[in-house]
Amino acid sequence: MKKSLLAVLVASTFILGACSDDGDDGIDGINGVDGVDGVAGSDGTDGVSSFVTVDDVVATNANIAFAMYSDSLFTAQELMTALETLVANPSEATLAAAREAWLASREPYVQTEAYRFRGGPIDALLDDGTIGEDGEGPEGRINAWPLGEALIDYVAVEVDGDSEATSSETAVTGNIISNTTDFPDLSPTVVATFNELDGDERNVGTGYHAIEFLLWGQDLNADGSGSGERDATAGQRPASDYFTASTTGVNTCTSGDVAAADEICERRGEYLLSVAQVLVDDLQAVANAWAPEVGVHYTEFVQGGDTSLALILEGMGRLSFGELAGERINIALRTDSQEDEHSCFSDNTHRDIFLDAQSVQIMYTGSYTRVDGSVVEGASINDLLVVEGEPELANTMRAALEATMASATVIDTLANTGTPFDVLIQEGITQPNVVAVIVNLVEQTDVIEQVIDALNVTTNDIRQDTEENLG
Amino acid sequence: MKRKGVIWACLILCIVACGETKHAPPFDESELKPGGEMTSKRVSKRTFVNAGEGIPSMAELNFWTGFSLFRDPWVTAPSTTKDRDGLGPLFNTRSCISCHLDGARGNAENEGIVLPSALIIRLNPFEDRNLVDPVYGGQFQPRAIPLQHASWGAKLLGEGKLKLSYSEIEGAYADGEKYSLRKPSYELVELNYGELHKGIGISPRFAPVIYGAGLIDAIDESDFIALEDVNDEDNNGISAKYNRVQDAQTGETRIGRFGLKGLHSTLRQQVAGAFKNDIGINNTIFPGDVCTETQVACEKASEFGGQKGPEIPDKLLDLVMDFSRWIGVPPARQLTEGVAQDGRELFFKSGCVNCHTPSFTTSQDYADPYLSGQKIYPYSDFALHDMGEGLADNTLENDANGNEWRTPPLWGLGLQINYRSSATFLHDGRANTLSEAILWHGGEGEQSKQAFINMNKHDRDALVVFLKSI
Repeated sequence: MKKSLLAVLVASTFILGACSDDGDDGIDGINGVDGVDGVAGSDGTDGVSSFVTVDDVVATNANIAFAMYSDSLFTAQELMTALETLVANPSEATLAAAREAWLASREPYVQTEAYRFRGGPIDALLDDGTIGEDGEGPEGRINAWPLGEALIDYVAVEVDGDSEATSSETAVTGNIISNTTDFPDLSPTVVATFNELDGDERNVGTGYHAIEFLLWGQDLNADGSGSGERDATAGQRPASDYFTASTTGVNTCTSGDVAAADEICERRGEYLLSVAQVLVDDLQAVANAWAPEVGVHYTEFVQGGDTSLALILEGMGRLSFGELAGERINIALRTDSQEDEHSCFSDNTHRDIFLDAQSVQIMYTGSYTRVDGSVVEGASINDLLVVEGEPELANTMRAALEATMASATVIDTLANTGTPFDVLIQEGITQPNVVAVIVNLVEQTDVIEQVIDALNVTTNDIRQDTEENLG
Repeated sequence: MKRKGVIWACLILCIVACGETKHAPPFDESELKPGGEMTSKRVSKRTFVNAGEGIPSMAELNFWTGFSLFRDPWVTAPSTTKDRDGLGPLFNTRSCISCHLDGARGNAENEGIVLPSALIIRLNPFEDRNLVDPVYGGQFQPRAIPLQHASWGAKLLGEGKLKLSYSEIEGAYADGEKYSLRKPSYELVELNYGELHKGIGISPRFAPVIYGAGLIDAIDESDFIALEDVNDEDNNGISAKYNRVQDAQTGETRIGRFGLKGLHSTLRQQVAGAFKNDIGINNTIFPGDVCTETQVACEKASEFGGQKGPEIPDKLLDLVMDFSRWIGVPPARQLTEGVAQDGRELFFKSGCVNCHTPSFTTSQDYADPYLSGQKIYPYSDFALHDMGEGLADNTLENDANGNEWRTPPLWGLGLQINYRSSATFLHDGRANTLSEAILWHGGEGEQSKQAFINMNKHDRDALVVFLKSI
């Protein structure tokens, strides 16, 4: 029922998008870099419109947000179905299907990340459906990292040759799945609070990466050892970790390479489904907040004018620079770190990098290809720059984003041909393709700053409205 | 050049001492950028986390990379993300940002029996300055990682909880307007390792703001020594005294400029100390675990974590330091407007500047070129002052006695109010407004407080407007 309502609302966004008129004369091209004169611009006919306004751009951005979070919700629901099948009928096949569903669910979600860092629903939506302060939103529950998997389930006694413990018997216990005393109830309502276990924020026990860990297990080598050089395989969790007496007839439950009580596999399945349910609920809430015309954030955002435009650009800049170039890639460059990667269990970090880069590009081009292949598009920042008399800057921005995408594609391709990101960064981080992504992201951010200045959207930020706060 | 700020500060002190009318010096354009080139380019609507304007792009990348280490929670070892584990075994909080939200202070604690995070409890001696609590160590850590093992002998438990309650103190300004101050009382309860040593008291500390810390690190020690006036030889009722502390790496005795009582001499040591004591992440400056010998399960859990070498290696601490040094100071807001300028005059006239030294110029020799030689406006002398009985914790920390606190910088105060739903000022966050913070001043701050109480409403408001604009 909810699904069909969403679809109707999404369809309505296409109408909002189109804002072109007949088009005016194009602007003369500048001299080419090789000394060849640029071609004179031709008359605009169906090209960039001249009447794009800030409000149009902001509306497009809001409509794409709704489409992206809806896609994230749909694919998370499909993931939920696959997980239910795995738990009801555990086998290598259903485990593989569940892993595929997880990977598919990451595709739309990671593309939403440019909606972070701007006080939007993902960062500020409260459980009661209102917008609170930055950091109070569900982002941590949905996508927090690193996971601290030792709190959730069994872990290897040795990871990358760094451990004092010597056998499974000496490994620590107390993780949520094995600790029936302190955690008797693993229902979604209880699991949702695990992110703030012990009354403290940010104890990561939920979200995509918790599901990832429960599907793949720790990323050890193919032989299951945690010693020696990290190889190209992802986590090796066996399907028998979900075998229960009720699904297989006899007690064949395991915790990795050791047999476990039937109850452990039951609880593992229960925990998995609860985490997935929390994820679905959170994504539903974020999508609702962006629902055109009715969403609590949508209505405020589309009326925000320059303030909202500034938020779009701030999100683009912060994701490009601090998040992606900085913490997802530069940290590896700076520290030679072997496992500082986000999707560390599944070795899917190359997609995180690629899709984050794409997320920034989408904010600029105002065009998003949905999971079902349809396209949501409308007035873009690119259009606005041209209308504001900045066609060269528009072109520079477009080129910078494309350069980033080209270099991110190299990392994506390397992973698909046998060199995942964690292996890539072990091979010496000075390799040109990794450095290129960082350099391109930094250059892209410089251009975003120029766009912010050109569109003159900083005024609201600089002038603090202190009057109402005095006293 | 760098002496200028000091000379100016001295001049002010002299004027005060002579008992003449203390006018503010003419307004200088540089006051609009309190961090010099390390002022943030823009005023953000909601966060202090922005690099200073003078940081070039590629360096700023390291700033943001460091920020991720500041923001992300540390996790329980062992984990796949080895560079991010090692939490505890006993700890106050999991991440830097949970206590320094948006680079400012943390969320205030509620009344009642709580597991505090942004409000830490130092365990300091009443009289014997070398005494450390044999069971709890120097800091109270209410949380523990939830892991256990049969061989540990005992279940690993946090150290206990804090009972926090407030009572109201009523008062009135000279013009009759009433005010109310919130007086906290603290008690450690549900202690899991027995009673505290009888010679040990509790000193509550609310996490301070972190922006501008690099600039404070860059002030030349000689500029502080020039301000020192332990015996109040200039007879102005103010005795600037600097805590002398040992540098944890070199063993040298230095001036302590960081920490609410000036426990740490350098920013790196302050940050490393917070990693160790607040999060349980050891490092090359503070190796070892947070457990005392009597906390056996804690020691065993630490062994089982299996970390060889420091839990935050220097390569990562360096990134956190890039972040910590380069976080920009927000530009002044509406400082040039009339009412703020009236407040500025009152700030000088009331003697606030005797401790809240307006300006320094950072050392030309400071190792970080982005921070050296900057004219800055922190409004603090970073010295210890007797703040009276009302704020006293009655415990010792090196040379700091129970009445003494280090002057906090005032830059960016107004934005702290904007970014949080409930503002918190003073060392334990007891004051909800700037007026309350002023009214808590006693001891060496008594005279200035009395001046504030005797102002008419217009002047009191103007002073607060000034404080919110710097």
